[in-house]
Amino acid sequence: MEKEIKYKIRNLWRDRLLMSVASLVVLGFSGQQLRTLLAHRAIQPAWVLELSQAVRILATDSKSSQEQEYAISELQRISQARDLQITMLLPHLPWKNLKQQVERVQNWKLHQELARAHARVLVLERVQALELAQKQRQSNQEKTRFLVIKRDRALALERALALALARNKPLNQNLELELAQDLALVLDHNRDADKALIQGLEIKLVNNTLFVFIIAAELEQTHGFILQQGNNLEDLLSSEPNRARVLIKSILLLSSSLLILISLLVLLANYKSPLKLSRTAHLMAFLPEEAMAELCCLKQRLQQGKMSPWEIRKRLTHEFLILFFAYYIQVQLENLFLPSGDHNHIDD
Amino acid sequence: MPSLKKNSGNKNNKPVRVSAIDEDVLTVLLGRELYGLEILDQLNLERPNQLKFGSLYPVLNRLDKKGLVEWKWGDQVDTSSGGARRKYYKVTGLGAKSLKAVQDYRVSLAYRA
Repeated sequence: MEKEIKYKIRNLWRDRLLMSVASLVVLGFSGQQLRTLLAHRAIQPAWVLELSQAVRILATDSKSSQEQEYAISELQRISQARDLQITMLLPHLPWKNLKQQVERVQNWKLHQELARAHARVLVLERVQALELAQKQRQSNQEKTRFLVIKRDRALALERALALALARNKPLNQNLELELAQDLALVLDHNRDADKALIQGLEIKLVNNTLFVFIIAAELEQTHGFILQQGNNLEDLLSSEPNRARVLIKSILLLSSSLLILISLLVLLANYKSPLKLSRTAHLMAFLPEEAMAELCCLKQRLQQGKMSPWEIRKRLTHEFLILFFAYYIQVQLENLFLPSGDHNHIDD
Repeated sequence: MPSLKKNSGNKNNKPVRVSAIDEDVLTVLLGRELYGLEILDQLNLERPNQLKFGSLYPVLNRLDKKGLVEWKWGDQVDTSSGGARRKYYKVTGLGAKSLKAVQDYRVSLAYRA
């Protein structure tokens, strides 16, 4: 085989190899960009995020009225554009007047504290009255004992004792009754105050929760999206600019790399040798001519031996690879330590 | 025993070192011209471990570089081979001398035993 043809064939295969390697590199890069694209794609449309943000502002009491007005206008705009009819009506309902409810709850709380203080005073007074009555009874008893000791006035003492006992009994009964009534009054009062406080807090909590719940339910039912709130919304809002930037970058890189990949594949498919040569001739460019001749002989012999085509192919591939290794590695290494030996041609 | 000096050119025509497989190939090629597949056929007739092209070509290259064999191009095998030609190898004088030296050494060893 002429050296020029051999050179051309080698160049052809070198170019093909380079194009294949470049295609693989571009393919790997495209895969990487596709992965980035999938990782940073939007889970929900942007308007869902805007809606979630508006709902969060409306459900938070600490926001200014200006912010709340803006949130209401956003809510109306989005709900009108996306056909969310219940959401559109929600900001106009009176149950959103949370400020009055908070004041009401605060009044109830103050009232409950006053009632508790009043009850404490009442109980203290009643206890003091009871103690006084007890002391009076004890002094009466002492007097009675003194009269008993004085035997000469036994009768008088008996009468006095009976009279004192008769007088103390209704007094004790009255005091106990009054105390029970006061306690019942205080307890009732406290119960009412507690109930009002709890009711006020529940109203506030229920209002916010219900507001968010209704919007979330309508959004999910109408469009199948989830209304983000709390930490999820915070995370989404903070990562949104970065996500959008990475997404656009990935789309641009992916499209350009795919374009390059397609161009390389088209180029590779159309890159053919101007010379029409057999497969053996192509192989001869990489192995010594005599080795290819021997392989052709071996192939003919195997075919005559009625081996299956797969077995023949396997054997020839094995021989080719071993020869390739021997010619390009083993022989080249040995030649470093051997004389040139160019003069051993018989024709010389 | 043949000289074990490394061949630094074949001008002095002294026997050179040959390995066992070199000796086998030289023995097969002695007095005739063969191409690679025929050499393998001859070597593998009763050989326990079959040799393949991957083993034969380095040996032929080594013998060629040492000046122990010489070769010539044969005719084209057929059109299916893309016009590839075989190489026919034969032993040179130095090769025959080196082989004879090794064989003599083995005979003397046998006598002594």
